[in-house]
Amino acid sequence: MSIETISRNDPRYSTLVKGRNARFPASDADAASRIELCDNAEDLALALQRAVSEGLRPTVRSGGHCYEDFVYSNPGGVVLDLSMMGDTTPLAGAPKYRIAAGAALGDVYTDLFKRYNVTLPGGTCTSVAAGGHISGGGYGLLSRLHGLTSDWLTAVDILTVDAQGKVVARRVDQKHEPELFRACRGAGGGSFGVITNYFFEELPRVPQEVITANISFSWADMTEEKFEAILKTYGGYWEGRGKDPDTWGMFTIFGLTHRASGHLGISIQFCNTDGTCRDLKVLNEFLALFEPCGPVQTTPATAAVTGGERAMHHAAPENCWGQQMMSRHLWLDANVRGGGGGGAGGEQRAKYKSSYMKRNFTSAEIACFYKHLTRTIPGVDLSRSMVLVDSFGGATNKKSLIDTTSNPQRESVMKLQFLSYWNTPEDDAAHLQCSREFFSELYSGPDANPKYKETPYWNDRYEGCYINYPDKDMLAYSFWPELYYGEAGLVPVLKRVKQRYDPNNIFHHAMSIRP
Amino acid sequence: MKGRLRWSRRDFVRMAGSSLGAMSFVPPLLARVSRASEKIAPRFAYVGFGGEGAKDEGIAVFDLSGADLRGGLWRQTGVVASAAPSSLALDATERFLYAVNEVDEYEGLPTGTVEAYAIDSADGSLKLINRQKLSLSATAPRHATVSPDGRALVVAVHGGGAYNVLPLAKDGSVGAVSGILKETGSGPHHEQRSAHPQMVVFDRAGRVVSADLGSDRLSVLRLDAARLSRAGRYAAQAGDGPRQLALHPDGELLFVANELDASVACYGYDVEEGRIVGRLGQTATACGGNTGGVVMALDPGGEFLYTAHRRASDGVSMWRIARRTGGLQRLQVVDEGGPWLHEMTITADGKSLLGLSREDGGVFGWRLADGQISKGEQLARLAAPMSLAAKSL
Repeated sequence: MSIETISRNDPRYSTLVKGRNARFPASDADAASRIELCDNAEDLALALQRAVSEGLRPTVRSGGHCYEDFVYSNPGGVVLDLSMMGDTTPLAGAPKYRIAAGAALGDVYTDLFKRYNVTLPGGTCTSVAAGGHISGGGYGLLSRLHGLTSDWLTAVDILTVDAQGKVVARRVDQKHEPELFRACRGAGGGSFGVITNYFFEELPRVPQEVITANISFSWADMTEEKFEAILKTYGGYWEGRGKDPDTWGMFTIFGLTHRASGHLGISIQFCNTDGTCRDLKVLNEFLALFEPCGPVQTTPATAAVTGGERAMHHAAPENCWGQQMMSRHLWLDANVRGGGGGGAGGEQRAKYKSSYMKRNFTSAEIACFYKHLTRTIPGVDLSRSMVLVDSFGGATNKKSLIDTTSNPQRESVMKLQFLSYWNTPEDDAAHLQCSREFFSELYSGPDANPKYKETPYWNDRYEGCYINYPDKDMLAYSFWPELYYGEAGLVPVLKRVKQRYDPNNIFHHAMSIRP
Repeated sequence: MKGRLRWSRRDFVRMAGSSLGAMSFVPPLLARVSRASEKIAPRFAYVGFGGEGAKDEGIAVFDLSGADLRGGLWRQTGVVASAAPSSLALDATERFLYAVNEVDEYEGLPTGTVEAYAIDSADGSLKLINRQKLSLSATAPRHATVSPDGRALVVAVHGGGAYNVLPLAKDGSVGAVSGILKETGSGPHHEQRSAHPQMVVFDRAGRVVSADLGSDRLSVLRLDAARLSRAGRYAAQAGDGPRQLALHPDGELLFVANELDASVACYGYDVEEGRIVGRLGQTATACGGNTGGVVMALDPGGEFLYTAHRRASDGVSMWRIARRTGGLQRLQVVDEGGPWLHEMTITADGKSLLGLSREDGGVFGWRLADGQISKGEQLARLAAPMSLAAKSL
């Protein structure tokens, strides 16, 4: 196949012009005029050149998981779709491992396992694709053991557009155009060009086996005191014992779900640092910490996250007959749901926020969590609102990588993701407001720097926010670039890269690096 | 005030070029599009002020009734707040005023804005109808013009190197961006690292002609269903930095003021085809060396062109236009040693040349009559003026 162009009159347009988050595009007027489905880097260069020459704005998607409107708020523009560029076979003359930018993580893990018995320490959502994930500093269940995906990167193939509007294909690494390469290691997508391939000279070996476990707590008998005890136990572990290298094979996600969801719980994946499960001392020690907190009986499960991309797709069945039993879906959304790349699966509406934490929770923070997770608003279903508190640190905290990657957060022990899901546009305003109020209040307390109120700005407790969980609300603060990229000189580097490699600001969105 | 005094001490009139007696009226080659306000003296003037280094920003309203350019300051009757209003445009009915805000950010987003104002026909006062953000990355917009049918506003965007179209409603309000055309390109000068559209004008057929300082390019754009597309391009000389455009009323000449090499170029323009057909000539405008930053104003009758400079006290030059060749002959220079002029315009009645000086903080005026330009007078005191529009209707 050459480039498959999907224009407005194509029956596939309405499915492919959107991504996973049904909030975007917000209106027909915001939508791109066409989607270019590309099979390989040559196709992509052609499609990009065509857009630039026509004076149209290109936006780029691989898995279609961008949390904000960076791809889909593109009035009259062009979406370059890489979701069919998923090749993981090596290229001659390139570093050993190659992952094309459109490859979904689930396929990447499988391919790398089968071919080489290695893996990428990437995310838990298997339909997320490499393109946005790695360029923003993607991480996952093996990151405490092996670091961020971007930490392992050796080179990338990237298409940029020069001052005259000509597409230029580049392979960059630490020796060739090192600043552009650094920007591709964690600064996030959509600012500099289109990455078509990621290369790795080395990747970590796959663990032989892992143990997964769940700890669940019921909201029914939860008290604020008990809630505080659980969170302090959890955070205390990661601030203390969790820093010891023998614990780095354990990764946990604490789903602090809203009371309306009924329960909250910790998902765990564990292996020893040698990739075996021979010694369970660390895991047992961790589980035992929570016994006094009265967890409910659960069955072993995979470390699948409660909510997130796997949140319930359909509402509870209506208790009556007729039209109320039916719901209408685009075919691909109904049949593939989260499984395919590109535009499929976008029926949920969502809002996300993030923060990095260097220390355990304080009582003030926990009180704020409790308040907002038990908050009720008449007519608004908050059962799919939550905070996922990921264990972090270990191998992600290699300070030596601050200067060669664009992920300056190298001291945190927990990484928080605030998520809210709902179904209808009518509920947008209420959910967006709830999310904003929760975050603002949490970071306006005694632990926040008053100068940077309402944000987890860098101090002795926080390390800002994560660009792969972008949040346009942060644009209200003039210091938002530093919030995401730190104050240690990365922002000027990224600006310099922007000016040099994208002088006409072809690649832009609400939170792209500004020239 | 300081600027005025300095200027008054130095001002003089210098005759140059051929004698005035040699000039004769040449009838227009083609029928001209007449403007309703033609021949009517302006009643109100709007001056946008602010921008880089300015303390205050807004649009000042001046009542010109009874104003005599020969003496006295204009009477300021009001002011509205407006961020860095780099360009002001009236619609054809002169009931609405559109302001371009040369800002880099709006509500946290990397974009400039435009504003629509309703004009009170009795007292000329302004009332904000609405403010609309431009497309993402459309930062520091420089200029806008209203389409002849009054249904669209076309904006030249310096920062993001683009053009935006926004629909205009009957009530004058400006709608969300309906068309975006992104430019690329660069030139040899350090200010030419990327495309920087500066100005847009409509030709008689409703096409848009534009000047791009960053890419040394002139373009003809088609406006169709509230979207813009490229109809043609013409490369200026590398390093010219075209900034300002004026279509000669006869329709076949396009004058371009070049920011970077301080010159005015004349191009042939095929209004039937919407094509720039070639550069006919290029004239250096500065009296001394090249200080860049030429500004120009074209006489609505098409006989004269006026130039001044933004970073030089070269005075105002009056040029006679050879209507067939576009050639320029300097007739007169006034007010050498006078203020640097940031922008100039000629009132619709053709009787006054108005200029803004950011450094001297004021509006200056020259009377144009009998093929001569008077000495200038300060008409208003205003810090950091950046744009001007005069309402006659």
